[in-house]
Amino acid sequence: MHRALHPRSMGYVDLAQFQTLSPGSRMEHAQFGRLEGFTEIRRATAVVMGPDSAATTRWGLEGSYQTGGWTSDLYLVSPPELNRQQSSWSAGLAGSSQDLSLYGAAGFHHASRTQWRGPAGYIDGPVSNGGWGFLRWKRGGLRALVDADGIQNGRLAWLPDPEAFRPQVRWFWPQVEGSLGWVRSDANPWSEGDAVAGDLRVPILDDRVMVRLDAGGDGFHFLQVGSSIDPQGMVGLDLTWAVRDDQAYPGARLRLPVFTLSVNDPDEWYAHGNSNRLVWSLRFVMTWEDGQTMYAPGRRPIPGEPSP
Amino acid sequence: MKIWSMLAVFCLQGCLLDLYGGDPRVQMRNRCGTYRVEELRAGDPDQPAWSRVFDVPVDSGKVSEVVDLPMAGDLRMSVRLVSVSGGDTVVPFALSTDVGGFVQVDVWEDAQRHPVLRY
Repeated sequence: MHRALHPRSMGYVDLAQFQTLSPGSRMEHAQFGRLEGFTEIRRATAVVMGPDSAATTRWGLEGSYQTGGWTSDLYLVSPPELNRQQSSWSAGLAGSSQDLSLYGAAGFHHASRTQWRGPAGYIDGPVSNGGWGFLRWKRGGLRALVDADGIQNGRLAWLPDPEAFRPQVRWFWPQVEGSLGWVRSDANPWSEGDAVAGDLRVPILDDRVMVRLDAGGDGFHFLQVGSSIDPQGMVGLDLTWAVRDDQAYPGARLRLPVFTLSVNDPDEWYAHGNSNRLVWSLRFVMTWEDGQTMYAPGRRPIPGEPSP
Repeated sequence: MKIWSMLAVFCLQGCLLDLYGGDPRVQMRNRCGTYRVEELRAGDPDQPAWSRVFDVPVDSGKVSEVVDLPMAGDLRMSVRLVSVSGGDTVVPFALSTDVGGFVQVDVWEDAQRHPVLRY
């Protein structure tokens, strides 16, 4: 659940590019065979709430658009001649109430059929439609994605305390968070089957260092150690050790104001299910919120969380 | 100025492939006496989606120019041969190549003078 989705948030913008840096993305082409190449995906997501920052009850809109897929080479402007692309978008409504400590959003998601372009181009696969929703009440959270085949994944979460705290007085329990849920096989980036999955994050040094463990019924997923240089959590470094298919995937995520640069970020795998050995992502995240929010005055959420 | 504009175009067109050796390449070597290698194809052998006719047909004992393939992976390829009597023969084969890879494909003939590919 994106950390910018809480009752005091006015919304956020999240622009991301996700790509593999080594060849290995294998994709079946009806004419040419099983092709080796790269994956490049671009995504834009935004939530805008209103009417203004003084309102205790707000309503808003959510929208996102994603495009990309397999390519024979990476690109900056337009994909190379031979590529496989899929576009998807979502739209939804959001509402929040500070008096009730409540935030909720729900919407619709559509994914187009995949299209091979270039020599022997053709359209492949079915259209996919589904719904999504999440709810946050005080420290409790619920997220679910559904489609025509049923529930794709769902999570119950215990989220960080949204009220400001002073690290000198108490810093452990307000920051503890965890989740438990279930993911269907086609949406599971860690194994081939359906699985129960969950994660646990605990701070180990004030609001500066935290540890996150992610695992499920299919075994260990990853361990992440996150550190923040500033008390607002805008600048920091997260190091990850992930294991999938008996292979290790070390990763790193550098958080800067507004920008997040990462290599082998497991949160991106949740979104894209990529299995390449070397995956790079760049995200531009801006959130709008009033002064007293999240952990401490002026503290902003940590980017890098899965978006709906 | 010219160099910077070339670099800009290079980046816009994609550059990562070149870091791994570029497009995969294939070279044909003709080791049979009754066929001449004329064309390399990818996709359906009869209606290929991609093909490359050799500038100079590859006669017996000769090698072709090196051809850049537009894709890497486990490919469905075929080669069109022309016999000394003038008849065309298309021989399909599976070719596995990585990005930046190079494969040399030898064209032989068996005891019945049928074309056979080895790589």
